[in-house]
Amino acid sequence: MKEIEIERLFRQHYDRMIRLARTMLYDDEESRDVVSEVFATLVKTDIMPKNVESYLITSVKNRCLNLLEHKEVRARFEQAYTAEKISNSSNQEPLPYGETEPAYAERWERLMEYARRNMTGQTLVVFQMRHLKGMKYQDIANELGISKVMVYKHLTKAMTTIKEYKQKNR
Amino acid sequence: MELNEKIQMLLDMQEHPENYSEQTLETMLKDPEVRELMEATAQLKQAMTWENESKNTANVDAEWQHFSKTHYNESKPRRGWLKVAATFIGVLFITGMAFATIHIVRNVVAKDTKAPVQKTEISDSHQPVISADTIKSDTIVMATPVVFDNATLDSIAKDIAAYHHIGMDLQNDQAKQLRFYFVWKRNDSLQEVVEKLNMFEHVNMAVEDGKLIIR
Repeated sequence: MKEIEIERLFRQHYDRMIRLARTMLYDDEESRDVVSEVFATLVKTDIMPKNVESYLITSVKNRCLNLLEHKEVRARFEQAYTAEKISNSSNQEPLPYGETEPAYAERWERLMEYARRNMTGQTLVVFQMRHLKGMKYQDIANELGISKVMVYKHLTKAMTTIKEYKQKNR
Repeated sequence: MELNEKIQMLLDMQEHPENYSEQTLETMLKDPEVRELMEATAQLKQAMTWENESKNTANVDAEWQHFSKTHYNESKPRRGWLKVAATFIGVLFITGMAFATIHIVRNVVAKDTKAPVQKTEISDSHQPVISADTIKSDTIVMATPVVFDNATLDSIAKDIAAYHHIGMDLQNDQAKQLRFYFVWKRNDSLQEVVEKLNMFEHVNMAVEDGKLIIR
């Protein structure tokens, strides 16, 4: 594909693609590699995908999932990578016009809304410290001035609340 | 095991996976309740990450510059007619060579009447299939990284140049003596590898005119 076409696609979609990759991989460098690989396949071909936006998003998603499948089991526990396919198609085949941004963005927004309604602020803070900042339980306890048992309780609450939410929205 | 116990154990595993054998962890993952809890954690983490990400915008301009530099300097965009012209010239050239060879052979070895048969094969241009990328399959080839342990820059560069089918030009004899521990991920592009090597002190490498240059 010509450079000028790639550039147009790149400028138009890069932001959304990188955000999706980061949300799945939690790693900036890996995410940038994924997005750049997706565009690299376009460089080598002359065919313009029919629905470009959906093609790009689906490609990012699939490459991320492939990467995650190669992660060690220890990393899965530590990093809480998703094992779930974002698309809700029951069969393995991707939908020809896969999922576009609004669908998954909306899902995450709804989940956050539910989380805010059903958890205390402190639970959310503890979860964030543990999983987004990667802090140890003891350090979280020290920083918030609570006991380590309380940290466990907050994290348990977070997990079970989301589990309930998922069961309701099945 | 009670759900509560499972949760306790899961929380401990999330903080200290190194305390458990891989087998124990795999077994835990097979438990549907644990899997659900793990997935719940992942979902909330993703939702939070997404929210945070929405606040930063990427520097698309810089990313584009980087991308076009790494992908368009190495492989120029192909132009259909140029390719055709090049193939055509190539065919003419080979035919010319064949004629010349026949001529020379005939003149020099007058008795040998067998003219060498020149075969020219023009392979059909391979049409890349784009849909491959949308199928969720194990497409990532994990080339095993090469570990150079206390290897000379010279030998590292030789391997890398050979892998990428380019020549090598050693302009600095002192650089030859440098020794490194370096993990070469072969999935990295040549440009990326050179960038990583340049992060070492006293290393100054570049790719110019299709050659890996050590200055």
